[in-house]
Amino acid sequence: MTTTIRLGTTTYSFNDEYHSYDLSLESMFETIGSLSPKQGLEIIAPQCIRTYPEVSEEFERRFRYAVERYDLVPSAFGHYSDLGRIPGRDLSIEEAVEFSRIQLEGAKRLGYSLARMSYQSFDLTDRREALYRQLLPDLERLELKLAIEIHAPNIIESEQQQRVIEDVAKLNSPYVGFTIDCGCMTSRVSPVCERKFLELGVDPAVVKRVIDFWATEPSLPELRAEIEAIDGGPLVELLATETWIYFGHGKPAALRAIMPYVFHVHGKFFQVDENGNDDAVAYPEIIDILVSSDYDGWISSEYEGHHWLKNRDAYAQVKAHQQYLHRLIDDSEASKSGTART
Amino acid sequence: MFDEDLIASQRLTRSPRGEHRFLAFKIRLPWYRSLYLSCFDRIELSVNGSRQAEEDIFLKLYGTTYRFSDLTKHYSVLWFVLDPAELLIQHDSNLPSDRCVIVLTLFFRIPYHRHVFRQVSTCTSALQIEDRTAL
Repeated sequence: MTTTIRLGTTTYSFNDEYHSYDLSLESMFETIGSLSPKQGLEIIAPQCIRTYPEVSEEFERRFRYAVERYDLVPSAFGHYSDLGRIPGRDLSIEEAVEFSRIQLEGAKRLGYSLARMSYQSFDLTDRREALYRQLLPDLERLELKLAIEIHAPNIIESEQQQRVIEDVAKLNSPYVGFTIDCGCMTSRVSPVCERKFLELGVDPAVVKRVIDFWATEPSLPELRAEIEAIDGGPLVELLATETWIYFGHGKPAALRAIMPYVFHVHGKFFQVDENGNDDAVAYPEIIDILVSSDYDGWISSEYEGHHWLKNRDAYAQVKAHQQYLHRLIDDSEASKSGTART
Repeated sequence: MFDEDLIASQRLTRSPRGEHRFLAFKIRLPWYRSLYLSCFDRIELSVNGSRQAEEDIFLKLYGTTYRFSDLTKHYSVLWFVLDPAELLIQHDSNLPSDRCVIVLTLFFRIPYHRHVFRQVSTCTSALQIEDRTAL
């Protein structure tokens, strides 16, 4: 059975280990390399690169050494637009293009052919001003794909996200597409989130009320009204806000329509349970769509349980997540070719 | 995100500078990635329950000392995520013992969320006071 789906991970998965100095930059790369041969390596640029947005020659040398030594494959460069860097105003188009161009040129030097773009431009009235359009000449020059991230609380189906999707479809460039973060397609709030707030002493009945309310797919104003109605203090407000921010209500079916523009996938996950299954994201449906659409690209496992759990277990979690994805991919491939797995 | 690491010192130094005395301790950037100093626009700090005025608080990073309330002007200075900074507090009052309790809350903007989302990080720590002759 062959698949065009490749697995990797992002340095974001190792936030805790890196921030606490348990892992240095190189030992983080080594750890990622030990997951499997030809493991995909996605870096968060302002996490890893001291000279961000520039990629220094020293970083390039260290990065290339690690890629070679630990048998890694550069999968996606974690670019940031940082439009709000200057207080009180967005970067001008010229400033934003220059800030991005520096990163994209650096990404190319590191051997990346794709950059994830963290960028929100929903309120632009003239889409010619969209950063991805402004960067198109640079992308063509560098032969680098730019993959705009769709991330919870935004979902594919939202009106504002659809405006961007329509524009990217209209642009019809092999260099501009999307990174879909699977956290925008969840079927429940991860128990690790729930457990954290219980441990912090929030009344179990209130936790249940907040989680049940999340399942009603509230809008932000509805959520705010519920927070006010509960009147449970800052921890309850934080729980409600986090359920809304981290656990998107998008439906995997919406993914199928944008597959021609999906360049990269963030395999967001919060915890792999004791049965080896992801505890919140609608992966069986998502993987089915990726396989049946002949997705040819990376899934970067992106562990985010560390937001609530501080057990520094990212390696085991990413390993388990990739085993889970392999199983789903095999099942979907078997189903696609009409040979059910036994 | 990394509230527990915000205060990165076990000790607090107390040193004279001119007519004033300063308390100093190390802090970490409580976020997964590096940020520009312009993202840090508010701080709340108490020493033994006594709230310190923001104009008496300074941040020292890479050899330069900034008044905290001026940080928003420094949108080209990147605070790399692994590097501790030093927080300096002008504090002329006497402290009753050789230990004091610091409660620190840092407010910052997420630059890629434009001007929408903010983060708040809080940490409380009891620090041993160490007197030094100069900063």
